Amino acid sequence: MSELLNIQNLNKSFDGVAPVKDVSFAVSKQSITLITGENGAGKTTLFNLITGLVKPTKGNITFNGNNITGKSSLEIARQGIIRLYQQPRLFKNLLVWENLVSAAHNNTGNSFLNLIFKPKTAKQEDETLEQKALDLLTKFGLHELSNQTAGELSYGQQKLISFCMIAMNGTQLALLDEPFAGLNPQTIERFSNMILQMRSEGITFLIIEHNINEVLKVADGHIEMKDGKIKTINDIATV
Amino acid sequence: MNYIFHILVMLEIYILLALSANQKVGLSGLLSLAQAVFYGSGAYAAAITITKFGFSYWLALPVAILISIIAALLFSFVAGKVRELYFSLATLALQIIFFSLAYNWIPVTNGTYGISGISNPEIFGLKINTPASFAVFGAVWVLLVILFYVWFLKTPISRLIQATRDDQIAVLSLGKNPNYYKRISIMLSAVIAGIAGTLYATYTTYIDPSSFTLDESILILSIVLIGGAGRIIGPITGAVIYILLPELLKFLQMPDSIAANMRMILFGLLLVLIVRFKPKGLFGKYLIQ
Repeated sequence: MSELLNIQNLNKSFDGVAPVKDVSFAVSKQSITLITGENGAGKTTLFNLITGLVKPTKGNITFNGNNITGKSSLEIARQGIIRLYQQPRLFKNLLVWENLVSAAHNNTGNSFLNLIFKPKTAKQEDETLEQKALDLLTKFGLHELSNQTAGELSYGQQKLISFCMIAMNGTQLALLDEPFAGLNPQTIERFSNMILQMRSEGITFLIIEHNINEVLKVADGHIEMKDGKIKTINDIATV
Repeated sequence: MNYIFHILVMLEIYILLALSANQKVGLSGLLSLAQAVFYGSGAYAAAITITKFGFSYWLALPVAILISIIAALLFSFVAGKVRELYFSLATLALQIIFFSLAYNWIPVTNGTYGISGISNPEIFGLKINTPASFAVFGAVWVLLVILFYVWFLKTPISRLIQATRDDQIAVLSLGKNPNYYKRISIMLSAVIAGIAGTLYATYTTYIDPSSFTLDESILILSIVLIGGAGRIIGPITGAVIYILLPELLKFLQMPDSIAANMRMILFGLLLVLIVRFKPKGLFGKYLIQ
């Protein structure tokens, strides 16, 4: 499998404190990599560095062959890296299908000028995306939620919907921050199946999770961090 | 009869102002204390171009819209990047700057004396100079803006404007620029307030800074709060209540001096009751925070 993400000697320090030190690893396309470690091991800072929320002090991040080190969050997200937070971040006053359509990139009507000068194209694309959103919800057995306001859904449902937004967004690499936290076993299984299905459709996953056993069932690789450094890197066969 | 048409015209102007405020507060979640600025910039642009350059209403209107857009753009580049309380403080500063300019830039605004002799609009040689004809003219503008919103609220950009209101970081994570959606919202709001300003200036034929104060901005915001933010019906209801409430007091045959104060007391009381028992307003979809 070809390489999607490559991190070389990544360092971050804040006033003498270094939450990430000399981190280097690579992630293949369509893989699922689990990142574990105690609190303060540097996992979240690593995600912040990859998504551009904080800039590295030293080191390089290459995504799809492009150097994305120090680029803004917006530029990085536009290249196809999405991050899902532990708390689902849905647009709570919008309907579920509106949330999904809002996640899509290739919508002409997302720009005001396009909406004015290309109204037909904008309308057609929007209708296509609405249908795509409904198909996606049907595929994951969530179609009955389509017309509900996102803020009225249960915590587990909100997590599943936020996960569907990855598929609408044209994401290549999804960073999931404790996706299984607070979920019941049935929802965890449903979530795991969704991850596997999305991987088969071309999405790569980096997952921070304390519920290691659940992720190991689907993961291809495992990185363990300690004190900001990588302690071990294993592919799943050796775990 | 003229009095009823006058009330109708004022109602139409306040419906437009409330819809413009709803764009910013209801759809974007940006609590603005400067709606009177864009109302005033539209009114002053129309008044100055008509009285000093001899423009007709139809030439003054695009100038007023353009000035509202430029003012909104300049403002949004500065304030569009800040959120919540900081945004409101920035709008407060804008309101104070605008009022000071209108009050003190005498060569342009004529200061406290205001600008008089603003001519009425004309359509195909027909002068709109009676309350009845202005009520029809204003109704056409209200209808156009309502139709715009019926269409706009179904568009992808409207959803993204509301998505930015709900969670700016999530919008950014999806690779979309939240500042762009805030900017578009501030501009749209300014354009509608600017149109209301041109209507007000050409209806009253006289404007001065006292119509575009912080009090006016807070009043417009209160109208949206009472009617409810996020839907078309909310701001319209709020404007109807604000304009028609004092008319109901007339049936009680109160002396004018008491009725004027009673209007604000009742409006204030209604505001308190709404905040306490119906925080989203009468028909609101979104809780103003």
